[in-house]
Amino acid sequence: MSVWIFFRQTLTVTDETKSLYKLGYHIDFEIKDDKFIQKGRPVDFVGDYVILLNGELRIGESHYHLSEIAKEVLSAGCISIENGKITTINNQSGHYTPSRKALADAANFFVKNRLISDSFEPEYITF
Amino acid sequence: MNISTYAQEITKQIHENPLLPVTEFENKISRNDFVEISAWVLKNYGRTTCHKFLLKFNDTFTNLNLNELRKCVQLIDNDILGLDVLTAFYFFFTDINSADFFEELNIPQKIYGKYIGNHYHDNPFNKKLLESFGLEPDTIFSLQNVWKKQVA
Repeated sequence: MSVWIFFRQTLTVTDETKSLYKLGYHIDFEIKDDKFIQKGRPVDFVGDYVILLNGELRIGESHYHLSEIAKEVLSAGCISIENGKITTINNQSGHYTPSRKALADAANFFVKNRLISDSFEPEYITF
Repeated sequence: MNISTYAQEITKQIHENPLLPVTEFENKISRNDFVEISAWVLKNYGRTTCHKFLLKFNDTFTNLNLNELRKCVQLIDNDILGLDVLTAFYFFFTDINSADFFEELNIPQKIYGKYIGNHYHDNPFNKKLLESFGLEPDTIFSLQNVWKKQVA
């Protein structure tokens, strides 16, 4: 199933920020039994995520670093993962500035892929 | 001191071991070094890394005086994301949210104006960020109050 069915729009880096590369970190993980797993253990992590146009989900710190300076992505924001399940996401990305609709699409994507915890709480932030 | 090397060492440690104390770093650097390192981090890293850095060094950072903060802003050198991240830190994690304060620091109204009037302290992600460092919101607020008294 294509990830594109979940996203009604792509996110484009803003003209104001496209020249501002930021350093960052990425986390290696795999999805196993609907959980984020790293080195055989469920992931506990608070940081950023992006979903590239090819559907690849990346987590770490700095959206522009994670996307390898991609002009467009499907989704971007902050993410908290506990015991391998997502507890919250939001729309904070200075480079891709996701809308409320984009956040809803991302939440739907994670719900449909059974990656969320029982207490999952997406939140739109004005910034 | 090579500020960029030092800044990268610190952020790497915070990323890999968020609960490991940073007292060793704090003991090695002067207040001026800390201002320069903070500015370098704010200019060169993304929002989450910067907020992790500022939360980890919350005691030192919230005790900087206005001149030191102005120098930090000056060193960020009009990097709009760096200034935005610094502004967001105050709104997200402290009780400082007045336009006067940001004007004093020479942060443009275009940046701080977006945050004024909004409430961020109950934000689930920010709470998780605090928890990941073993911090309570009150810890930051009390430090901030100490800083306010010093300024007064």
